Amino acid sequence: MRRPARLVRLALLPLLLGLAACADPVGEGEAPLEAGDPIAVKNGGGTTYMLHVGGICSYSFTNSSKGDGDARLGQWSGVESVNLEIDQTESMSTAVSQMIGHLDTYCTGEDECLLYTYSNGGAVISQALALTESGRWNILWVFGTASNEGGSEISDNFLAAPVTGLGFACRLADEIGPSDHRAGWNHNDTGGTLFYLLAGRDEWWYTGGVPDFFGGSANDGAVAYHSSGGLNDTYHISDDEPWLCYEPAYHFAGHQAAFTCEGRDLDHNAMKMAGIAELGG
Amino acid sequence: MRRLLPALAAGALALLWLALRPGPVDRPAPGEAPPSAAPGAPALPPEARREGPARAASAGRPGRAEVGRAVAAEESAPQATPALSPVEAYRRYAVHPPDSRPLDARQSDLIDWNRRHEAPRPDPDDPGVTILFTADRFHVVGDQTLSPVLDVRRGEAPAAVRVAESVVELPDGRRIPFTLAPQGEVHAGVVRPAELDLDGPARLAVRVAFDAGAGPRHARIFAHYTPAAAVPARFGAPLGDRVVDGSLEVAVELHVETPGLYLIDANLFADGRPVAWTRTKPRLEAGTHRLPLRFFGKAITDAGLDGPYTVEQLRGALAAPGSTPPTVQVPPFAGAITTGAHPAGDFSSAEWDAPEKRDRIARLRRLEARGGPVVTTPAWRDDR
Repeated sequence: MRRPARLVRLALLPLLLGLAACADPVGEGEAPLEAGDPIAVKNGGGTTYMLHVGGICSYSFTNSSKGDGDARLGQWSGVESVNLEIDQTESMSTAVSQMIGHLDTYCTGEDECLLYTYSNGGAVISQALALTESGRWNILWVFGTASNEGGSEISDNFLAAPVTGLGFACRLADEIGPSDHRAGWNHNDTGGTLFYLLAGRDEWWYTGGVPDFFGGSANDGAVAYHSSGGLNDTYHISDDEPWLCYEPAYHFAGHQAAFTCEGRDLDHNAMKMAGIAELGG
Repeated sequence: MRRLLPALAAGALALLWLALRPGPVDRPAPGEAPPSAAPGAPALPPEARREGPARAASAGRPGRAEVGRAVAAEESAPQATPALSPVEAYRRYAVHPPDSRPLDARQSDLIDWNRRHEAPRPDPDDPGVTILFTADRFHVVGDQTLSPVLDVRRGEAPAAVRVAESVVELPDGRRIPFTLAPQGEVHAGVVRPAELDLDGPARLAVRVAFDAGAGPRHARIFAHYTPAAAVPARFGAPLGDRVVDGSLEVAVELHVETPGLYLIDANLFADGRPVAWTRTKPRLEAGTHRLPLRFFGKAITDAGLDGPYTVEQLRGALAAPGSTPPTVQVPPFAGAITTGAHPAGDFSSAEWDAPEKRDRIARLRRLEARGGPVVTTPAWRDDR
């Protein structure tokens, strides 16, 4: 099953390269929402929000420097979905500062939040929680798909220059390597909020093959398992090991797999909407 | 981009080659041994490369054998994976509070908290050559130095390298040269940020240009520097320890220059064995403060290790979200603090209970009852 699937992927690679991996796949006929559009209802005394956070080089969940794409917000009964405007093109400090402002807006008092983060959005919420007072917000959980919380090797070291050719053409792409993200703050400090993580393992040949940014470790083309799985070190992981459910001691505190111990056989782009589908949105 | 275009031009050939090529994009069959870690750099710190849990177990490293057994059992007899609801997952997590939990030797991010994570990478044009550019730390404070290392290898052997330029790039655009010279099998240097005339925290870019025979190459790493003049606080003397509400409280002085939210972390050991970690985030005004560090009782009774305990890796920072860097470092406490000889039985084995825990459980239950988005997590292996 694996080899035919891989050959199909390989046949599509020129298209992937030509498009610079610009599209975020979603269902057909679904118009993307504008940033800040509310789409659901209130509950009781407070509102439950699902805050959507985009990835590297994005301005919101549905709008990135790669184009608007087809990303859409998830929709759930009794939950108001919000497309957070967070500038992830310049610096982590800008992004985290904006994230904190949004959390103050949506996640205090009677209101409460769930977070759906994609890629580097997982790092932004992690740093925001670690650098602020515990208990400041009512965040029930964070769902991170293809999370870059542990940093991406394609931002790292001497291979950084070609990264701009892979659709990561913004200044922040320089700041999101494993050393920056792992040594930069204490990831075990989530303020008691659990992180649910869905990881992808369908590599891109131009990051997992020639050259191999990930040293043979499982990855989705942009982030390795050690990051998307919330592991507490840059472990080398085979992608056919059910690695996501080893003992908690291998993970940041409060970080655990969502739905599966094996992740999904999807690439970084496809992972963006995969979690919403799995959450029934 | 320049390297990408030739790859695109050679697309058909490359695709054919990739389809037939064993390597990173070929996944081993189930049960097959996982691939080796990236080609290594033996002369460098072992932290430069990490292995997955199963490989570490098979290598017989202390403390990981049980993981190996779990993997073997899983492979021979696949089990259904019980799924936990958010309420149940949180209840299991919240046995200990979020700010003080058991410490395990595998939590290297908490014990070796300032280490870097660069790894050897193959040269883009010559896969037989691996390149590693790293250093000895990430945060640098006051008079501390940063020691960059460039290790280029062909196979296991060091490659001949000509360093064309090595500089530290500062936020104001200045480029300060430093020497990266042959030292054994690598090129090594020392950067002294205290000599860079910085008056505030800075993100330093350390860059090297070199040639190992395949053409000019550039590498860079970043480090966060807090100059002495910008140090926001300093640890003072230990102020004793006691049992408070079933937990261990160890106090230490903190002399604060800059008011704000402080992030203080420390680890507890008993006779060299890890016991618990703690994190406290007080908002402090300028002045001298008694800083209590609480190690949760159940974390200590879980370890079952009697005192005296030692508080190690005591470090801190002033939170500065919205700035680059986002923290201003406090010089780490030098050495360890030894506590009294408290038996483990002096501490409470009760689970954590607090209003915020009950509130979160209530909110999760309401969400579940309303039929909101449902996420589940498989149980940890050792919980099955």
